[in-house]
Amino acid sequence: MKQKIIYSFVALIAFSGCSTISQNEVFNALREETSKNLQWIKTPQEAEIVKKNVNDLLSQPLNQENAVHITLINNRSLQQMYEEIGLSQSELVQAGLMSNPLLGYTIGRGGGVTKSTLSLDVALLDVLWIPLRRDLAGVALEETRFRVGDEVLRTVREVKKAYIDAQVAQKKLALYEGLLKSHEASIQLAIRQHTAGNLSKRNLLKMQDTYARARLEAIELNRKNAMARETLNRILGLYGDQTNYTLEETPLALGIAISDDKGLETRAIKNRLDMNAAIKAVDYAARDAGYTQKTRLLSEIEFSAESEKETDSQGFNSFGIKIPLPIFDFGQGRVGKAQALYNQKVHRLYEVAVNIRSQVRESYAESRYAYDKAVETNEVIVPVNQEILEETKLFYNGMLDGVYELLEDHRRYGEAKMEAISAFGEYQKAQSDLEYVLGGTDNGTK
Amino acid sequence: MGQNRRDFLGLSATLLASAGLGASLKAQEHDHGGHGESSSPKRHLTRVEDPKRVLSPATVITPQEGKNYNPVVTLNGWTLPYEMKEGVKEFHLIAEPVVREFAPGMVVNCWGYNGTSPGPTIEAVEGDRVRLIVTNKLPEHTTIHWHGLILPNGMDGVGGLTQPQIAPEETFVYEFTLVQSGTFMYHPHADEMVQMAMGAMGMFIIHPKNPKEHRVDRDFCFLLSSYDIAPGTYTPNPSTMTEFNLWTFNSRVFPGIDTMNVRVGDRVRIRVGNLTMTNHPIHMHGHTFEVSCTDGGWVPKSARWPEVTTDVAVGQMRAIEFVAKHEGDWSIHCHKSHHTMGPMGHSIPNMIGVKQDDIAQKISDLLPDYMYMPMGKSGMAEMSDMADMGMALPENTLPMMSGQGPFGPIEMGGMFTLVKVRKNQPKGDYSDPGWYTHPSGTVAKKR
Repeated sequence: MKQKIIYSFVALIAFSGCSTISQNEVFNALREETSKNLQWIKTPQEAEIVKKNVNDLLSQPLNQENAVHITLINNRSLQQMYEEIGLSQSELVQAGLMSNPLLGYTIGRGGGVTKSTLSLDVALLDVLWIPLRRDLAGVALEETRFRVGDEVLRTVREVKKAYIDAQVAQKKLALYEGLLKSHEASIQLAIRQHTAGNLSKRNLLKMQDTYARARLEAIELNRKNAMARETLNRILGLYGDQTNYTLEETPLALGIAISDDKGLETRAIKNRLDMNAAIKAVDYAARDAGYTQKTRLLSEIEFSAESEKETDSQGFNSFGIKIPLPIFDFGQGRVGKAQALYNQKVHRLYEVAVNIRSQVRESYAESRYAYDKAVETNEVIVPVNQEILEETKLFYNGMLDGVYELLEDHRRYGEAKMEAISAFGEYQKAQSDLEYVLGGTDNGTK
Repeated sequence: MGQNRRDFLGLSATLLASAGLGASLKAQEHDHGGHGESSSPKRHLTRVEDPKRVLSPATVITPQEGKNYNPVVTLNGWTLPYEMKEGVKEFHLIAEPVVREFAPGMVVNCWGYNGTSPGPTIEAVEGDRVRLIVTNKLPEHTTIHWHGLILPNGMDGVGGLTQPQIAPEETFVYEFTLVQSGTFMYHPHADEMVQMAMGAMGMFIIHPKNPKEHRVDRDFCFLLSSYDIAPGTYTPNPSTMTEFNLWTFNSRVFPGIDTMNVRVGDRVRIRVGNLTMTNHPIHMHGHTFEVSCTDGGWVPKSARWPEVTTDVAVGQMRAIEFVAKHEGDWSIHCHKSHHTMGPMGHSIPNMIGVKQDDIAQKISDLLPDYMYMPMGKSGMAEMSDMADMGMALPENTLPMMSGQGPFGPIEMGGMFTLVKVRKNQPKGDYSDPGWYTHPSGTVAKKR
């Protein structure tokens, strides 16, 4: 009899121990959906390799592409997300395991008689629910994968925007140096004019005020630069000497704007990973509700086998079954809860879809108008101010304008160039938003 | 979605339009006469290739029937031809937008008569019956007032007071007998401020009945007028009251003004009328002169006194007379120093005595493609050098000081010209003899 029990036990283990999908397989699928550069740090060795890679990437002036790369391997918030896959996958393994049988042994002695009982209780019906549970856990894992993928793309967007902010802040700061010099020349001349007796104290003070405000602006630009740089550092996951990297000296460029919004919403609905996650969540809730329905009464059926042995007597084997009587609990509570959860997920899916469509329209408009603004600024405002400066030079030649006007219009031109840099940055950030909103670009991060 | 491709293209079209702005601005440069109504013919601006064609010799109209007067020479101007109609001298004046070259390098959208501003000089003789037929081709109504003439009240040309205004495209006839002789002017008396600020004016010379009376060998005339033409523009600002930047003889500025070229021994008369809004002390070098004629007529010989400067007040006319005795190139100009200057910024910072060299280097570094020169440290004469070096100025703008003489830059502008007195200037020849050749030992020299 013992053998029989053991056989059936082995059979159960065999039945439940079917092969499951590995963490690596899931992570590879995630890479397919997001970026091949994704790297999951699981061991100190891997951490070392990542650190070396990061330092290599930082040894040359940082461009946006490498900033994204560093984030994907070095951002510890993303690493936490990758572990979500580990968690879900473990759930899946767990789901394939049957509840452990209870092995009991009792021994009693009385009147010279020793009685021992060996028992084995198995929640046998549990075996039947294993495929259902595995199914559920599989769906949950897929949902997790999409959720993690969405977070990866979100972070890619954030690092791209942080990189643009840092680049814009640095370029504006550099341009402002020229403007500040121009202000300096003005105030120096004014001081000398005053000393020579040609400029009243009042007018000198007014110019001093202008100069002081220019210096304030320089401080503000320095502050913005430091803040932008630090936001980028944080997303890149850098500290210490690593933060001494330089940004690549590329001019900000306007790509080709998407000039047509046809099909964008459909594309986003199809590609967005949070949309896919929401679909999976509905799927999960539906299956979970079905599971609950099936197991509402019979989930706790137990089979037991007992072998009793008394001193000097024949062993006595018995088999038994315990069935919960649905007198008080028909499982209606659990069923109702599952139903509510399912409804919740359906509403959630609806909400996600509506929001995504709205985001697409919003982001498209944002990027398109930002493009127009950038073009208008760069192709009209900047050259017009350049021409103004050229004309002012002619007026200066003719003693029709003084040196202060000349310097002022020099600064106007500089300010126009700073505006153009801001406008380019706004467009590029809008473009990063649009990329995310559409569920990744066709090439690149997707 | 709200934003479709068509909207996007619409914005692009705006961009294209503004990108094309430069080109359209350039096209307009050739059409400066077009500031009037569409009914007035558009004059196309052309740069004068050969300034001599519009400079001297001045047009001199000699009387057709009997030499009964000695004609005047209008600097950079001309005399209006007339027709005799049944004993009446008939003149045709057309008030219209015109383009006037103030000096080589600058043309101005003016209002004037018969194609020029100032209009042609009207010359007639005391006792003449004249008929002045005035056609208005200006975009607004006008009249003509005959400044200083004794005439019937209804011929005085004051809009609303003595006649209705002459509407655009209308023609009015003035007819009266000239009962006096002397130096007079004509100008609008309808929206007078605008029309005179735009240059609508002219001289009216009435010769004495007896040609021997007040006879001179050379008789010159010009009007004083002032304009506010912002640097880089072409049209006078008619709402300016005091801050004019161009001071002219007959709507010309030095070095674009005819010189008055005479022969030693000539008796010379120079008639000046002032239609600016300020007085002008007209000063001549090398001779003393007498004022022989005012707005009211001839000054009795006993009442004249010698002088070298005579103030011509607003609305006045003065004729000065002298015998050209001293050979040379003698300046004649308004003695207000800013009236002998081209346009200049009145609010430029005062840099006299301010050391700038090191800051100049800093500014040059900020403007790498520009030859920056600090100005005004030791005065403004360097401006003249800059102009000679061909330093570019705003379009259609004259340098503050210019003119090149035989010894260097003359550093003048505005109301400045020369009386050139020569032994060998042929009689009746008004052409420029060139620079004076000084006898040796008569020129100031470096010690």
